[in-house]
Amino acid sequence: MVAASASEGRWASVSGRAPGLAGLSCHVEFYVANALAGVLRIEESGHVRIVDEGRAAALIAVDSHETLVRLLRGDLPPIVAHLQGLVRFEGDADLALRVLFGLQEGSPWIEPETGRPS
Amino acid sequence: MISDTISILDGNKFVVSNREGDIEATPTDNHGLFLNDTRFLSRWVLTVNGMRPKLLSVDDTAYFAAQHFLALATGTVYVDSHLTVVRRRFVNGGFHEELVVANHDQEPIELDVRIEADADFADLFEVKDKLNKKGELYRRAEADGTLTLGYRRDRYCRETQVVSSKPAQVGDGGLSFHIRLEPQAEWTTSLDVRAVTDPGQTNIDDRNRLKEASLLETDDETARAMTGDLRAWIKDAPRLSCSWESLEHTYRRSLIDLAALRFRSGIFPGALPAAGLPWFMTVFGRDSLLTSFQALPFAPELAATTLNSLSLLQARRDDPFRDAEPGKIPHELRFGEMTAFEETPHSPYYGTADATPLFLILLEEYERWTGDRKLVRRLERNARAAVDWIDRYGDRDGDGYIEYQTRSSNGLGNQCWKDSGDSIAYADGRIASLPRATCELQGYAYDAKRRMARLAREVWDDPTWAKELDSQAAHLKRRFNQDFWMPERRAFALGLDGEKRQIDSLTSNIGHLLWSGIADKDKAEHCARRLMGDALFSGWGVRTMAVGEGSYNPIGYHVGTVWPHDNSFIAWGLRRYGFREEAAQLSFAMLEAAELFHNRLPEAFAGYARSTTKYPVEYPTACSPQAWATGAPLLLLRALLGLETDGRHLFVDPALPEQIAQLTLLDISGPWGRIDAFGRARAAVDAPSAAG
Repeated sequence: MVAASASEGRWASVSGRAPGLAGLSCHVEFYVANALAGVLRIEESGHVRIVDEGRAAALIAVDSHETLVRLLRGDLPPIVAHLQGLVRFEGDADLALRVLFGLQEGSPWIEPETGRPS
Repeated sequence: MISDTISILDGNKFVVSNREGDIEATPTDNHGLFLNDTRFLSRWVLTVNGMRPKLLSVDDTAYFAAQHFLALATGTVYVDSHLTVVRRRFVNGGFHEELVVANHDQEPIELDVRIEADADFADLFEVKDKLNKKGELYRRAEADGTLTLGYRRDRYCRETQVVSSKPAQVGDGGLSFHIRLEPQAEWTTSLDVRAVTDPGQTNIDDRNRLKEASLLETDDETARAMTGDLRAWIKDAPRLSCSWESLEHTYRRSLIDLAALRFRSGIFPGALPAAGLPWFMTVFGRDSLLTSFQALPFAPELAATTLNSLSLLQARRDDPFRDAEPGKIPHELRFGEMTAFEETPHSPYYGTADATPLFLILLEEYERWTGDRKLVRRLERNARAAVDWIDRYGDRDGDGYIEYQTRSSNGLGNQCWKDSGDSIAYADGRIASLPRATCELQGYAYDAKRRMARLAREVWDDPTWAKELDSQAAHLKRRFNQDFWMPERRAFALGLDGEKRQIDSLTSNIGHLLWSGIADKDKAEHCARRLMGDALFSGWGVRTMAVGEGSYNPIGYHVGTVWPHDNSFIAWGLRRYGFREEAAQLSFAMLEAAELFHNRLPEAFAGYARSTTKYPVEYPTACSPQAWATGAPLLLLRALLGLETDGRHLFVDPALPEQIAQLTLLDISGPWGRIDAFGRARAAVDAPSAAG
């Protein structure tokens, strides 16, 4: 997601399905390297996109773009990232963790074949 | 036996000290302040004028607090000691200790009071396996008088902060106070030891704590709040009265220990049962699920949190290091340094073949006892993934049975509840080959599918899937009763080995087949006889392995000891098949053992025959309190009273032994509101009676 985003400025225009998020209906704020990267809007169907604002139930703060890509690709377990201090949650931590686990099942920001940011 | 340590706890926060209140971690003494699988304090030693006060007595009646009464004396002589010390301690985000020094002499006295403090920040696995640290330890005296002990490895940082309410001289070794006490005067200071998991940042867990703290201005109020919480917990549970007073004590002890073992983490909503003190104060899939099942009629909220939390951690990916496959429910989650750096696979680890069907079993049981269909609907996707895991991954070779073999370099050899290395053995004592399909796993899979069929029909509105699941369960039952039955031994085999041969030893596992309902009725009758025969039944309970088997050892962890939780499920299984007298006999024997363990059943005890010993013999390293041992009396009570529900009504069908003249359980909550259950012994075990 935001991995390709910040440098290329097009992450916010990417949207699609994240099957692991189906059943959730919420907004989650994402911070990357101490900067607001956007608000992730998740719909019941698992459709996700970035919006400018929304009433977020949880905040996920990731220390770097590299960490975020590793999380999205499923290379870095969310619990490990949390214990190492690479990611922090605020608000509804259960929801935040559910979102990170869910995104590891696939998201529009990662190419399924290559594992590269979209 | 009087323990030489005192443990106070609140979920995964606990303090282990000696009876004087000192913490002195050594390779053989696992003392410390522990939080999130990390030891935040490894040394905390009180001296007065260079001497250690000696113990008068210790009071640890609250699970989260203890008081140590001490006196300064020379050698072992207490006579004419004029100086007493009281240490009052309770667990919070670390611990709070009130230190009171009193001079009972006619003369004033000058004293040097000193607290030595140190922290090794050992991961619990490092404590167990005596491993060395890889990061850097540091300590500093802050300008405000706080002593900070710290540890850093890359971005992983943990600190312990020690603060005194009275000014102290803070040095490398700890805190010192020079005081003068007038005759009959007292000196008091409050010491706060705070475990900080994310120094420099306020993480969500701390924020929640701060919110709580803002309402609780003093430590006294914090202690009062914990006491109030415990009181409310006990008040919400059904009330028990019994002609046998010991059972009332055991029941109360169980409720208190369950409260103590409630595990809270910033990442889970609510509290779920941690497995056991000291090594297993964390989320264990199997333990939390079975304990929540045992406690359902008494504390249903545990099941809700367990189901929610485990659904969050349900595996989404294939990951050999963690023994994970999609849909699998985790075995164990840890929060220490070795987990953080993936030196162990516990983030979480999925090496359990039974947690996934047990998750489904608890989900259905929970729905019937609470009527909470909202949660069941929300977890439909997780339930479907779990069923899919049973068929696709649990059954590794397509033979229709769940079998296990680790794929991890750091994985468990046995992934059933008897998870020690020598537990799955043939009757001649040889260890069975891998992969292993133990019998109870098939029972759980059968039960899980039948229960999911009901939910599919009644809640998820999917009659086609329901029919399919019922058909699969019936097919599994037919095959199981052929493939696992040993006609010559008149019992089910412990399992099938890697070559699909029967693992032919006689074990307690057959009792779980009664709980699951997979055993054919005629075979169940043989099993009941075997379970209550001399080879398996010790007089106190059913042994994990029968006397006479090649591996039998009365103090072997899973090959001869008696496990209370195992027995509670066996008793419930006996009831399920109509063996009322056997269930009553077994339940009563186990509750008698509880009385002799001061009303707290340990994780396990030795398998010596009751005819040879008046007291059940302790197993040396048993965890206590341990969650499913704590839950055992609750399920035994359910077996004695025959409590069952169809989701609308509560059925009460008591079967009491003659030693229990009367047993009453008041205010059992459920979709029916609140109902009371009464039972009384007759000459023989009671005939069925209506609900109260």
